[in-house]
Amino acid sequence: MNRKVSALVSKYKVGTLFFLPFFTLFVIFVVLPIFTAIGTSFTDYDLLNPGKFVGLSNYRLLLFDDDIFVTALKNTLVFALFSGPIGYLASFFMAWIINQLRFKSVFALAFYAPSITSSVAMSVVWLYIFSSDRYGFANNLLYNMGFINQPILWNQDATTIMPIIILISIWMSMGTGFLVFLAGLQNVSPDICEAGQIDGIRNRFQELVYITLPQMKPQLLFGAINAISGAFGVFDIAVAFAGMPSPGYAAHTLVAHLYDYAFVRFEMGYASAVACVLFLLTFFFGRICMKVFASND
Amino acid sequence: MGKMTGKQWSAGLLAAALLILHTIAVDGQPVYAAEDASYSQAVEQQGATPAYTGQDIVLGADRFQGGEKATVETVDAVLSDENNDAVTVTFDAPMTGRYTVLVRYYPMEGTGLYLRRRLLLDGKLPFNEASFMLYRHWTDSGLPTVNSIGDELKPRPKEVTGWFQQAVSDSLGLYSSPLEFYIEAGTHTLTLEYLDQPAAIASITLCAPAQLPDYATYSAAYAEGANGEYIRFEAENPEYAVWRTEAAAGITNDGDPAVSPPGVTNIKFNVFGGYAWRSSGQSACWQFEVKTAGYYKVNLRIKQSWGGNLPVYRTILVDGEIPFSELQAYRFPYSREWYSEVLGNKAGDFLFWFEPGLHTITMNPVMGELAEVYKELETALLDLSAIVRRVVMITGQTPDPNYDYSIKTAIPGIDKELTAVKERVRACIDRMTVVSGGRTTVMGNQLESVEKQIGEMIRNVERIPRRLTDLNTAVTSLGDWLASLQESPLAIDYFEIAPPAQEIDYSHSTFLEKIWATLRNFVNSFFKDYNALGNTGGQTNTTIDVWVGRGKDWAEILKTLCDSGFSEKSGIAVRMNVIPSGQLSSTGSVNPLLLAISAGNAPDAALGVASNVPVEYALRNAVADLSGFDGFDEVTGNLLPQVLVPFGYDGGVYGLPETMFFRCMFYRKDLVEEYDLLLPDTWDDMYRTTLPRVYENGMQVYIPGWFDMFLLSNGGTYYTEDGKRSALDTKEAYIAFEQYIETYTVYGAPTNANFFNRFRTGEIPIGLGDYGTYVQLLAAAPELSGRWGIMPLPGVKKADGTVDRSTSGYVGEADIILATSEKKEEAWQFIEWWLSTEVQTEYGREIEGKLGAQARWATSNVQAFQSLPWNLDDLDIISGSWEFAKEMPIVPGSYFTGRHITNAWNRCIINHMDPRESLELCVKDINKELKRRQTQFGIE
Repeated sequence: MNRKVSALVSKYKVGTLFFLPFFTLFVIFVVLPIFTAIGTSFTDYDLLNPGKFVGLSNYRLLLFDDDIFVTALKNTLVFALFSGPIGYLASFFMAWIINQLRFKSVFALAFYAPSITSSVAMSVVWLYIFSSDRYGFANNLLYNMGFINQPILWNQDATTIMPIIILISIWMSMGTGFLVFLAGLQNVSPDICEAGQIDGIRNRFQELVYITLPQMKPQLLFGAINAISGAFGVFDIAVAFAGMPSPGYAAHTLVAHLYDYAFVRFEMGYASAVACVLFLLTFFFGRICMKVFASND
Repeated sequence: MGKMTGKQWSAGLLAAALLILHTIAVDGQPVYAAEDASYSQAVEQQGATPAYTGQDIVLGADRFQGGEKATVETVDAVLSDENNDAVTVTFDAPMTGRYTVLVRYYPMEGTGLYLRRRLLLDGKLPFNEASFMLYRHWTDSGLPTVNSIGDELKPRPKEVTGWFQQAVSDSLGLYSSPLEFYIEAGTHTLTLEYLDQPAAIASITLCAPAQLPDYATYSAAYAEGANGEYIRFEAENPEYAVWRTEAAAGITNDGDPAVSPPGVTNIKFNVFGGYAWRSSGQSACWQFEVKTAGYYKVNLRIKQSWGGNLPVYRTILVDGEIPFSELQAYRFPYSREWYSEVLGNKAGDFLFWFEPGLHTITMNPVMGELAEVYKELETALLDLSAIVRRVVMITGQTPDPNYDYSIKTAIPGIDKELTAVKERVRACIDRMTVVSGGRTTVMGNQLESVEKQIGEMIRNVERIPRRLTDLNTAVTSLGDWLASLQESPLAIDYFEIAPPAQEIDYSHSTFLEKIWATLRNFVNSFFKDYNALGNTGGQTNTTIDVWVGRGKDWAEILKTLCDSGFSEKSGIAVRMNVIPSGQLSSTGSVNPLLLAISAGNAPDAALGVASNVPVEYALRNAVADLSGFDGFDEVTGNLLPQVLVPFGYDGGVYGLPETMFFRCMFYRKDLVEEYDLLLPDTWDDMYRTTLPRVYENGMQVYIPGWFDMFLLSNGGTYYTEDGKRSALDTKEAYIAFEQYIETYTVYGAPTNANFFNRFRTGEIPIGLGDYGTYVQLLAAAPELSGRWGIMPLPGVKKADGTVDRSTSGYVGEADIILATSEKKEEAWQFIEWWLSTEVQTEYGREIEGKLGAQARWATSNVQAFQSLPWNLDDLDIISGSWEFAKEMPIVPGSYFTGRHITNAWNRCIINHMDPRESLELCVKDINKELKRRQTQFGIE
């Protein structure tokens, strides 16, 4: 028995040591807080005094009595449904095109750069473009072209806030997913492509659908999970652009909702309940992706 | 608009792409009202008159009329202050000529600012610059002290009182020699009018303008003689830096490793001047002792890295006089490194003969060769603004891009005028390149883009209305660069007074040395606690932790005052930590205070928290009730009763405000006069008279979205008396809300505008603003000085005829004591000391002395507030507004009110909902949240 264990250990020792640092940090800063949040969601904790156990009352309030939660949920789903798939497809498409050009790294850097820039810095630029006064870039342009007579209040009008934030988050979504796609595309073995061409594949599109995509299932899964968790977690850019809380709760996502409860209203317990709901939602969509992109190797 | 075809769409997109290249969205131009009677015009007229060549004509104090006589430090003098605001003397001028004027004065106790006076000849102001300044003299009260983390702390400046003699000069530094007055032979009167800061005047002397020889002539008189000994002294050493006229332009620190003594990992005040020493009039004087008579050359170790390749100039006086003309505006070229400048010219070093004894070197910033550039640029700016105004008169503020304004026929000759402006700008660019020794300057590059813009406009005059914003941008740029031309910063490390043959070190720190210094700093950053303001020792019994939510400069001054004024007397040491300002607010951000309380690491007291924090934290038992402490009544006696309202809850007071702001109406004096605008006293005046007239002239009025002002001045309140329900469903609230919405929808006030910039350009001549706007105008709009003023806010006329101007916006940041503190009594003593009148006054003076008018300390202590250097007329208006201050109490759930009012406003302005409906929705939501909170906290 001992020999089996020690054999196991020595086989995986080096590998374990490699991922141990990351794993430790992951457990401490990601896994443990999830359990803490679940625990806190059953209490009434206001950050300044110790929490009191209240059972399911937070969840009851959340699911049956909170109309802003419904708005937040709707906003988040709209976000996720637009910026998730669109961002995902855009990342893939861009990766596919760049893969066929020369100077791949230069283009890759150009597209990857927005995602590593701080949201706050990006919001400054976008706020300048979509400034609500007469001299904002977009307003000025539309004005000069004769489309409008009064400046559009971009970051105050509930109907314009959402589309702009979707636009910005798509722009910022060329992140690690994009790089992973690029890497995956470069790993598609040329032998299979040749075999495909012999077998009758006529154009690039067919090659894409029948050969490239199936080969890239693991990368696609990774990109999908990234896109989903990114789409559900939109917060920084929404706050920087529309303020907290946004006018008419137009950009109020689930994260904004839980932030509001945690730090403005001092109800950490309730916020943890919202966080758990968010977690379940993300997990659910993630599982669906895993089913779709399951690869058998 | 209807549907657009594909062709139209693509045409539109193409146009958009082209326009993107040309349309730059920026705000407008500063408008300068025409200035008549400037010194340069007077020089043109009187230039041919010969200079006076006779003896000095001394007019002693005994000959002065209109002022109280006094004897100051055994000298007979006449007072010139608020009560003696014009002293006159009659004199005989022996010949027609140009005279300079010297004033012998003694600055009296005032508020530490520059003394301003006006000189009238025969009752008339000869030119604008005859409003001149006399300076106080300052020195450091000692050497810098070192705190416990190894950084030096600046010593406090102290005023050097005494009798001084100064020539009447221009305060901008455009002219390097004193102003010359044209006086005809005969009897005249000379009047000295008081503008600011009291002084005693002993005499006014009329002299012949100094005729300075050039160095060649001056040194021709040199006889043979020995050479002196080597003297070297540090410019920052107070033993040598005997006085300066600007307290804030003193010693500073430089981390370059080649500076002596070096201050790489710790802050060491090792140089003099720097960016703070940049305006004309900020003279500084060094005194040194010479033991051996002989010839000396003078070397200064200099850094001038601010000019963007442009040089700066200094007038250099030796023993109080300019020896020869080359020192009238001595040039210090730009360099990124420290360098050694031996005073001299192409022919060689300048040699000075010094006898044994004390000698002084005084330096004063002037514009030197850049003065011409300044004047050209100013003329270009005035001309361009005039052109813009004429265009606006035809096209209006917002030209219709599709209308043909026929600019060529409407303003014939506009292309010639624009060409003249373009040529002036080009002349400036070329002159700057010459002056900087052939190098292109940063400013020159910027001006080139302006030149290009104007060139495009000349080529296609009819497109000017479409490009009005471009013109505005051009004028703004010119204005900004004009302001920056006035700056002449310079840093001095040490002086060397050496024999002519002495070797001078011309080297500077090498690249490797700099890398090594950076590396040391980097390593040090892991060990040094930059947030803690270290202590300076002393005997103490207890220590309290205080967090200060302000910038480092603010906290440093507080710490210095605290160490000497509080810790020594009470034996309580204060460990101060600086939190970036704004992070101690509770709404919408994770703030360190909240987290610290959760973690059990909270300080004893926190200064500068947002005004809604104390009660919110009190509801959750996190802060202490201050009303129970000894001395509470004295402290609150110094504050306005209204500013305590947001901190009271259930009988206790949980915070005390340390800052107090104000609101008022700003107006442009020149534009109000020019267009005959009415300054509204009530909102009726505003809507019926002011707004229409303003719109007629193509301008706007800025009314910020202060719902509280509309609500309170209409007699409404936010909550019912018991604080349990929203009072926004009352008649007054509906009237107020309707007025609030109609101001934008019916009366056309802009919903979003950059008031500061548009006030400067004259697009918005009247607007409502607050303390922030006031200080911004004071500090960042020097070109508007004297052309703007404030008035009380317009109010609502009540049935009994009085005007209600109630508004909030007065409460600033607060101080709290945390409930977890075990040293509440000591923390209270600290807060009591901090909010006392003496300390608030001293703090206000120091912070303004250190950082300038932009840091005017808006203290909540009423007496201290009034003793700060406000303009007296403005202070009247501000203190008059205090009776109308009404603050909103914080009740559980009150954070919802602001949020929903904004939503209600949005619904009306953007979605055109009826104001009543919108407000009703708002009230419903607020009440629901209030109820919820009340249940949570068990309030019946």
